[in-house]
Amino acid sequence: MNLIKIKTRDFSEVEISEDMILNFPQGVFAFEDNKRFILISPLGEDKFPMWLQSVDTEALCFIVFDPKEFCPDYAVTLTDEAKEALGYSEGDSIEYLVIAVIPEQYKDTTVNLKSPVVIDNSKKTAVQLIAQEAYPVRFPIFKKEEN
Amino acid sequence: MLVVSRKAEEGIIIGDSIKITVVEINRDRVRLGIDAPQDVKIVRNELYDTEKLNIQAAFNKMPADIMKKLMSEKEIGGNVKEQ
Repeated sequence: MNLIKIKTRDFSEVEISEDMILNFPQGVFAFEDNKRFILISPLGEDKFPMWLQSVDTEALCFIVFDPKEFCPDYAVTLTDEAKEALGYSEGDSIEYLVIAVIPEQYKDTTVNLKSPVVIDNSKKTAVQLIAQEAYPVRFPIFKKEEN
Repeated sequence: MLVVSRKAEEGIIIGDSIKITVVEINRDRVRLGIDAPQDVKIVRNELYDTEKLNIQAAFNKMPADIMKKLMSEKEIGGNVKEQ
């Protein structure tokens, strides 16, 4: 498999195997032109958060969490539209990630549980969808300090 | 916020060019029909929120070492209550 170099927002240039690239046929909301991303795990393999870095735009990067960390029974219905975009077939390994907004006061960090990024690990494709389920768009991940 | 009651097939008009019609009412879901000029962007509010949040999130520059420190302080919040 070919190795390619990618300029990243937070880790300068990284060299990755081409098969690590996730194809987002629809991009992500507000950044529809960005169709290819990679997941970087600087905190260790399978450790969250991870960095979802655009391959095409160096400055575009999201910090993503595993929603199950906040909501153990997190489950989102895969719509037919999403399945089609993913090229999903029965038995594919599906993973959900949620995008964090990290303000300067990092204790106010929230994740968007309403609009997860769904990855089809078998097809190396991903989409961001709006869940039919009633999850909040701004879920605080730190407990509020009691005053 | 202005609140108006409408029945199925009734509607409201906003300005001179936007017309919203209640197409169907079910137990927990209302279907709306919208007539508006082409240049008026119409999105579901969750999508609007998510676009705004994605834009904010995209500019959260966060070096990994700081993030690592931050995560070690993290106390995960309780379970998510469905809204």
